Amino acid sequence: MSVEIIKPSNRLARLVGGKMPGRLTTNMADRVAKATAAAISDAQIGIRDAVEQLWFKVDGHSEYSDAHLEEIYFHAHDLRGLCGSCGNMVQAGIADALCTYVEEIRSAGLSPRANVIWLHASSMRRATQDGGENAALGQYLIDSLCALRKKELDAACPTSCACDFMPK
Amino acid sequence: MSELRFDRIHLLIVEDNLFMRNLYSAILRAMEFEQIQMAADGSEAFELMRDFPPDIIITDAAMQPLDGFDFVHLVRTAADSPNPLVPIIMVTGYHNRASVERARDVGVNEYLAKPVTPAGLYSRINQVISKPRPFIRTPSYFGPNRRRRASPNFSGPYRRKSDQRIGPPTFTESGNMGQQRKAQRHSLADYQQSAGVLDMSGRSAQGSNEIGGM
Repeated sequence: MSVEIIKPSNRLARLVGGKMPGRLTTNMADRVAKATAAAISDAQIGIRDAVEQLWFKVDGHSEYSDAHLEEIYFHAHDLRGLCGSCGNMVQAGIADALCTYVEEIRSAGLSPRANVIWLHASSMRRATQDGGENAALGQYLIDSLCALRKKELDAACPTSCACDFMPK
Repeated sequence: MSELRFDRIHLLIVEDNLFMRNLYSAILRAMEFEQIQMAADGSEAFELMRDFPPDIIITDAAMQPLDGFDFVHLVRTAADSPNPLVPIIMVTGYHNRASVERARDVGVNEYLAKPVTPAGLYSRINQVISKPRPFIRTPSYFGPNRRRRASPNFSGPYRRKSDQRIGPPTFTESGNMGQQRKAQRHSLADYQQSAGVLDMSGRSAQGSNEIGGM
């Protein structure tokens, strides 16, 4: 097999003109924290809108078509990245639980259930209304949703069973 | 930090979410990167690369119509790509192994899982600036070298002529070594027989029992 190896260029290092510290310095971290405060504040408005949009996509359906489910998934995927990056860890956790639910149920060869998706979206809305102030409630919601996913996957034994007797 | 000239580096951010774009911009400007351009998806970014040749690309994975994986593949392999060697950092909410492997196989330099933190972003930028990896071109892959380190425990096949033997032998090599050992064993047995050495049952090969006896 022919292989060509192209040596790396140090052009960027020359442009920067010095050795970069291995980690973000305290001084720079402070500057970044101040500079991002406004962007995070603006993003909160966007998060609230996105949560409402997710709710409208999810609510009032007894089942979802593949295309509809794909939309819901990408909406939740977007929210888990944005919420986490803005420090809204409860909302990020619920969005992550929804994405993981859809991914794992599909990979087990099952169809995600509409009422479980509705529960995720409803929890997300509740956490947003709460403003992330009640972390204990948020964690309880996340744990409950994860337990629900596990229960559904375990019920689909043998392919997705979490017991010790099944091949992992 | 102020003597470092991050203002000379051209950054291209590819992200479909407006608020994430603003967040990146705020973080990077606070780090003193000044030349920043934004695109909302892969196709827009690919077009933008012609007018604004980036030094580093930071891209999301889930975008429409052209997602991050296809965009990276296009940058690396398209005949009309403005810069196939540009360092690319993928920042994404996908945490699973399959996504990381896909990113690696399309030619991503660094992978960062969301949530985005300034420290995480800085470390990936530092990596592509301070420790750039060589690029590899094979019939099936073009991108940064996917081997980040030489593992002494590596037991897979060695496919390049330039590879030096650092790990356990390959299957073929094991076979050859087995043949050599077998040949050595035969020659040892012949020697033992001629020298009157005891075999494993304690009998002397020639009926003699001199070995070990003081």
